[in-house]
Amino acid sequence: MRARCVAYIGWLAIVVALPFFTQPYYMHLLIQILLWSFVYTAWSIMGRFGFVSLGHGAFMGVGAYVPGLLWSYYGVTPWAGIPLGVLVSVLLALIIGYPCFRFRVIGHYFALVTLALGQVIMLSIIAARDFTGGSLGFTLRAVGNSWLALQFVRRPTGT
Amino acid sequence: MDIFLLEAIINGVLLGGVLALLALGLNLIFGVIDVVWIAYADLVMCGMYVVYLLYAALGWPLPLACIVAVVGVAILGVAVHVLIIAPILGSAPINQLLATGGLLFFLQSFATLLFGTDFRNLGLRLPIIEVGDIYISSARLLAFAMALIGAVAIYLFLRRTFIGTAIRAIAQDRDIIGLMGVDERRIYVITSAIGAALAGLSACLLALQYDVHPFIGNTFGPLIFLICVLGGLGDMIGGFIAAFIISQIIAIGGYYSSTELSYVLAFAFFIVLMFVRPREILVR
Repeated sequence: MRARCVAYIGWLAIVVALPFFTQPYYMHLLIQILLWSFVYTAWSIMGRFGFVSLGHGAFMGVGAYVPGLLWSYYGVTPWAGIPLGVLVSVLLALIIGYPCFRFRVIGHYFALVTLALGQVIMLSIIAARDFTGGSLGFTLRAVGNSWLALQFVRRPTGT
Repeated sequence: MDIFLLEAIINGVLLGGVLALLALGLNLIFGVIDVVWIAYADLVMCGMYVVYLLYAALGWPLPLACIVAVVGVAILGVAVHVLIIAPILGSAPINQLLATGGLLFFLQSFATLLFGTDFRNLGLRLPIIEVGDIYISSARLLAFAMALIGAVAIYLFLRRTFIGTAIRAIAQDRDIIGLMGVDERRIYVITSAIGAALAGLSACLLALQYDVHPFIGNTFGPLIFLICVLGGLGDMIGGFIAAFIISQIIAIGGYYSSTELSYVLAFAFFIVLMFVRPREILVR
């Protein structure tokens, strides 16, 4: 128990210390590793029950666009936007998941329903191009250094 | 009726022919080998690049380039089966799906590496046919006719030849087929070759209408899967009808709103249909 505590604290210390002496590119890689391992975990929660989801991009997209659009257009801080984004993607998952399991849409069919869901979300975002920027994407409204907006101006890192 | 609506419907029918041909090839592999080739649409992309390379870059005559593309994609399909599918034929379906998913990224990245992400076209303009006030692109008409011929040829092949019969038998009962003196592995290789050859033929027809780029598979790949499932796996005629239903939704939806929204409509239609009639499909 104690050894485990020490291990966790040591881990945390390393993670906190890393940004102070890592080159920006490697920092980028580390952040990507964490992000993708998070996405992978989300996917494998379903994968281990034999539900192959090809539409996790839909949930990621909703989670990314909701806080982003809320901040850029309505000035809603990401501190509120991120939970809202989570909520919206949970709702989406319920809307698609409940009928799936109610009507026993499983196996290959489940994979294809989620594939279609991913396409629906992606194409809807592209179709609403006046609002979302379409397939060119959109850039968050930048405000410089701000905890409220969770935006941080790049500072020189590493040696 | 509105003349533009009529034009949209006709274009939908013409698009449906190519989609049906694509779905037919995938259906064959899906139904016979029981493996989801996620990378199927990217075989089409490879075929389109072959046509582009031979016709536009090297100046070969178009029919020859098309034949080489069909044969090349068929060989690629056999290679995919022998190198990727065959070793994991007995493992969990998810592993097979992920293996072909890896192939998808490999092919897309490889094409990007070779050709870059530019949109390339054959630089070939086929004439526009004018019927009354309706304009029909003859490239689409040709694609439609070729798709129908290809589908009928495959249908006859499956019905009339010994190998075709074996392919249909294996789709019905793969456990007992070995006892009937049919070598499963050989049939699998032949089926992969035929399915991939259909992808190659579709590639030739699509190259006449669309620009080639490494990610073109993503634009119609999901659509082909929907059509396969809507029509019923292994059900060739159902797949054909489903292709025309989907292409009509896209064409008419595109007439009333934007292209993206019409695709959204098609995919939403698929999801709802999966819930209303799961498994046993559309027709019948």
